[in-house]
Amino acid sequence: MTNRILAFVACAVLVQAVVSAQQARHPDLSGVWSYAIDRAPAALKKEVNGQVTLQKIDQSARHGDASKTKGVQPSEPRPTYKAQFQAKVKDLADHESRTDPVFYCGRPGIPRIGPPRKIVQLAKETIFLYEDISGDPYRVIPTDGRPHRRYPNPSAYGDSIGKWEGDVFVVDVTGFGEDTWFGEDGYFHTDAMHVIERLWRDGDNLVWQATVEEPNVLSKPWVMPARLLKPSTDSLEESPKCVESDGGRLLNDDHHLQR
Amino acid sequence: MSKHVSVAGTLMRVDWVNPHIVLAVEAKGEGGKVEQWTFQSNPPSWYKSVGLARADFAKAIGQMITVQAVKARDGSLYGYMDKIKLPDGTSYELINGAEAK
Repeated sequence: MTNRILAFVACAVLVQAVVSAQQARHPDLSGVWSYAIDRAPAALKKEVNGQVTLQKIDQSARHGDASKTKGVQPSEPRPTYKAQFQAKVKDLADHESRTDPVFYCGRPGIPRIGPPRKIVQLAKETIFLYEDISGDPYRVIPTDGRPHRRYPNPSAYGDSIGKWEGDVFVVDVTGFGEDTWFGEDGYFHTDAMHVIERLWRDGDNLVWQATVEEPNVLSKPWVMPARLLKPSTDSLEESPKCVESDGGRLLNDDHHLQR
Repeated sequence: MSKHVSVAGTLMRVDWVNPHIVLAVEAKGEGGKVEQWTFQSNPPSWYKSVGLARADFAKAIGQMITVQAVKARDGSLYGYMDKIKLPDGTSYELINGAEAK
């Protein structure tokens, strides 16, 4: 009996050691990372009893230049659509205040939502948490070697599997629906879209870079500009509900010049 | 051409919603007629980034405030809030352009 107990304990210790060793082999991406969506380019001026303070917004995660960061692949600012789709993209972009699902509280989907706000890296799966005006999506990304689900329901955030390529966490995403745009300027897609996200550490920071493959509408894969994210001490909060009230007031196609 | 307005009135409601927070203000217009104004401003996440929460505005519900805003082009009593002055004298103002960078 004593030998059985000792054998059990030894096995448990061995399993724990193997798991720890596996985790130790990879950089730890866990943590809260700076907000990377586009935000109003304004600062807040507060005045109390004549004392003025100016609170600025850190937009570096969205608008900073990460192109020189180690590991970043050469990127292009915008995708290249096949000739027969260029007029459609332009038309959608020209009328985006009426045609962009996100303006009407729709889900941005992958990759438009950008990098996760929080990462929880576990032995067999990695969890991405987001804050977004359309709700707060999450993704549970298996890293145990399983393939994509055979028949995933089409969705905005797709079906994801993760693996490590050296120190880079690579997330392969398929199973998309067709009702999202993969970028703000009318970047429509079909259910053939395939996205590869790459995440790695650059010192204290996190780097995120995505590639969009869409053989139906793009003439070549689009490697998006990378985003460099700083560690954040903000706690994640439930995003308030989205109540769009501008659509009925639009007098022209410019969403933000109605006033 | 955008039209700026300054509206002094009673803060009736603060909706902490996406994509823009909403403040409802009851004010007296020409001839003493009561007007129901609606003002939008930046998203909740933006205000969180600058350290403000709904409570910072909601504490003034039922009290007089002054809002400076860009009025909607459709002519309705609707605007985008640039600045708010609360009853305790505190003011918050959105600063754009070079000063914000």
